[in-house]
Amino acid sequence: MRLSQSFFVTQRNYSDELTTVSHRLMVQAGMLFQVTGGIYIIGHFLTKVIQKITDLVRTEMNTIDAQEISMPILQPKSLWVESRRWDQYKNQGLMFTLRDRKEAEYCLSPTNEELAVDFIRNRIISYRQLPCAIYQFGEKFRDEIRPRFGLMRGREFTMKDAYSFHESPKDLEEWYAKFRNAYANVLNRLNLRFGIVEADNGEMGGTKSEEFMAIADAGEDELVFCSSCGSAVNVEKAGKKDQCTKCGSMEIRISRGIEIGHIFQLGGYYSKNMGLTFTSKDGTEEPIIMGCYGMGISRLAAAVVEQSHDENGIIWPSVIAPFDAIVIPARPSEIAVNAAIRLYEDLKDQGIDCILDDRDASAAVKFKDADLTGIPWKIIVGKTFESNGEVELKDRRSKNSTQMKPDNVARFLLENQGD
Amino acid sequence: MEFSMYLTSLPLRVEREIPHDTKARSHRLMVQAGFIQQTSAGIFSFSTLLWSVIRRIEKIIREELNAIGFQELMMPALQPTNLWRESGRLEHFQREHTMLSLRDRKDQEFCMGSTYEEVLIDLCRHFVSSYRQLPFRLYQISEKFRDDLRPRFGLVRARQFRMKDGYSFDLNEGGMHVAYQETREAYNKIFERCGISFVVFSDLRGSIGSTFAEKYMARTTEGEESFIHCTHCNFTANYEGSPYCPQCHAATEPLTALELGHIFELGPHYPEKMGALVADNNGRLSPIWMGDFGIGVSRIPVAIIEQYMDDCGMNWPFHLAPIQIAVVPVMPTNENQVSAASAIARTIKTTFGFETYVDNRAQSFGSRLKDLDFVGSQLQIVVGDRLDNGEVDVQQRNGLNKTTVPIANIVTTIENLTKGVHQ
Repeated sequence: MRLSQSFFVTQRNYSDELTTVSHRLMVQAGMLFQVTGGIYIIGHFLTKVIQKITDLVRTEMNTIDAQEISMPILQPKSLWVESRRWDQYKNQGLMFTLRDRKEAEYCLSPTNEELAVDFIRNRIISYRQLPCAIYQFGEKFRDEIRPRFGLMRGREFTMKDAYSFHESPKDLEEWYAKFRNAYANVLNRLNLRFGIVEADNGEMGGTKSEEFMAIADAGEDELVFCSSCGSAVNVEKAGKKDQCTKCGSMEIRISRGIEIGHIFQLGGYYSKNMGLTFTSKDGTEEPIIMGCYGMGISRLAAAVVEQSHDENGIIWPSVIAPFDAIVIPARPSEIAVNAAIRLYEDLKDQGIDCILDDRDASAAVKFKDADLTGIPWKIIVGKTFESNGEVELKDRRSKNSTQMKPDNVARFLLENQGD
Repeated sequence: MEFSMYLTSLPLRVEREIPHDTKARSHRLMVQAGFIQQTSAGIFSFSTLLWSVIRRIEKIIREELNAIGFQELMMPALQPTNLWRESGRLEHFQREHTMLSLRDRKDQEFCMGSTYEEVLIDLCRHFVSSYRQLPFRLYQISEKFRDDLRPRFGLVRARQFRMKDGYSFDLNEGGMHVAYQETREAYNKIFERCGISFVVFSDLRGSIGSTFAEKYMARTTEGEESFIHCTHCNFTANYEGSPYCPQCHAATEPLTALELGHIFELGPHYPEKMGALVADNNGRLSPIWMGDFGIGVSRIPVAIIEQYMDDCGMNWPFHLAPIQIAVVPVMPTNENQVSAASAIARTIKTTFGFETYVDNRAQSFGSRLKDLDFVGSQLQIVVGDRLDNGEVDVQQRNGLNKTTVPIANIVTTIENLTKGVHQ
């Protein structure tokens, strides 16, 4: 991709209303454009980041044998009446609802237990088909009173939601542990510092639930994180604030956290209300036991930025960076410009996802924009190229730089991609 | 295990009984195979198998659009209705009652996204002011909404469906032509790569404000939509009662086809109306010239099914088949057979990346094969008594070209049978 042929907008100044780092940097880097309160256009770079997070989560879900499906945004009231949640959600006022031309009422997906039950009850008849789990990536909607903080409290956002179905509570517990483990894998691959908090099930019903909280100053909850066992407890519930309530370790720190995942053991609530049963080994009809597992995909991107940035902008971990590298012709000379174009084409051919900053702009502006958008490597074709034919590679995170012939860049990048 | 590969975990269940409320055959097949499940009229959940087909189609679309400099983004399903007042399109859409709209807690009015000219023109007028920022091309693949009076034929006339919508932004008409021609070429490649036999018609009427438009149509055997097509001037339109061409008055031929893509040169009309102006190199302000490019993504599987199906069910080009390779233990209760089948499936999946499943469902061998043929599994590897000699049977859909192969040679065999297929 050539920046001269792209929609690419960065801003040096920003409004006082952008009080959280992730929100501010995403807006400045042209990754997030507000359409109206809490509703955004997600720019190309951030779209790529979100797709990479999605792929990472997908791999973890497939590894535990969950099946990806796709459920609609528009959900009929009738299903929510069956589960007896319509009035509760509607009265709470956070659910968007609408009527179609025939006056039938719908909500915009706040969560998908009803649709998941409806999907499965047409397919599962026997204990032989259990356990099974389905998941999807989809848009979720919440009519927040005060939408704020960009992707952290938006009114429309991307979530991964999963649902598991079981013969017995014991089987649910096993799968719950598998999901819990998969969630930890995702967060570790993103290099996120996080804790797991026991939580209330609230309006979802069921017996047990836990929240995954990423450490971030912008978080809305204050928590005691234990560095020893990885658990976290809400400050209000922690009691003594000098040791972990779980393992007794003194290695704790009090930080704010943002919820990036919530997993639930739901039990039989939805199955009983919506008639989701299976024929057991003994031939009796039994309600299916359920679990559900949510993860905020667009919020994960925000959490990463909260934890990984500096005074110059975002620092993406390479596993989700929008591009591997940016090639910057830093001198206006024909020799530098042509070499930059050649290198860019060559890197693309070798499977490096890179962009070329061929805009009519100063080198300083190009460096600043590259830093702001957080691309792991800058490849600068400038003075050193004109004098001795070498380009400069600069690591966004460590700020270390190294020089080499253009022919060696691809191999260097392939060998230095993992962080 | 790094991937799911048992058909029991999907779960796959093929309904033999023909559902009564399905008129088109493609719709019927999709319902029977559980590919789509209606949650309310014209609104569906997609099963794992259908979703995997759609994701591979989207990959093709992305590759071809990215290659000509389109940038992907994500736009919201909720659009402020005010933007549509500014463009002047609100009345038109409201008159047709196809727009789903709602109000938030502060009584602000929104509509559910059907097309995104307004949203992007609004973006441009805030952030694009100079000719130096042009040209660029943007697209998204997302859910779209249309409150159809009579939703029908499954994914053909749905109320929520998947669409790719793309837009080009240029300084002048010449730039817009270039964007249009390049996108046109990309569309040809996309539909060719999807294995669809299609025709392109010029659509002179286009929509409000556009100067030139074309439609990409898949020929189908059954009548989802009827068109009149003038062989004289190539005019085509939805059938409106007259057998004569409104352009040149020649007699027309009836045509059954499914619209998959629509591209048009939108021009400067809406940017002008909404004030998306850019300064040229002399400082003169003029509106941006737009091109507009849609693909009905969730209609593409319908077109493929329509064009490839036979008496045994759905069929697919190999690279888009929901199940590319099925490994079938004759006795799903025989542990040796199941573990050999799993090992073969794992080898194939890791070597080729093909959509490979072990059919371990508790049904008779014959009924499982029938189901596999029905959903269009392209190759079937049967693990039965020959396992004792280290051999399996490999066959194509409907039991064609059956051969016995040593398990040790399975990779070479699959390689030869799938030559030229890129996953």
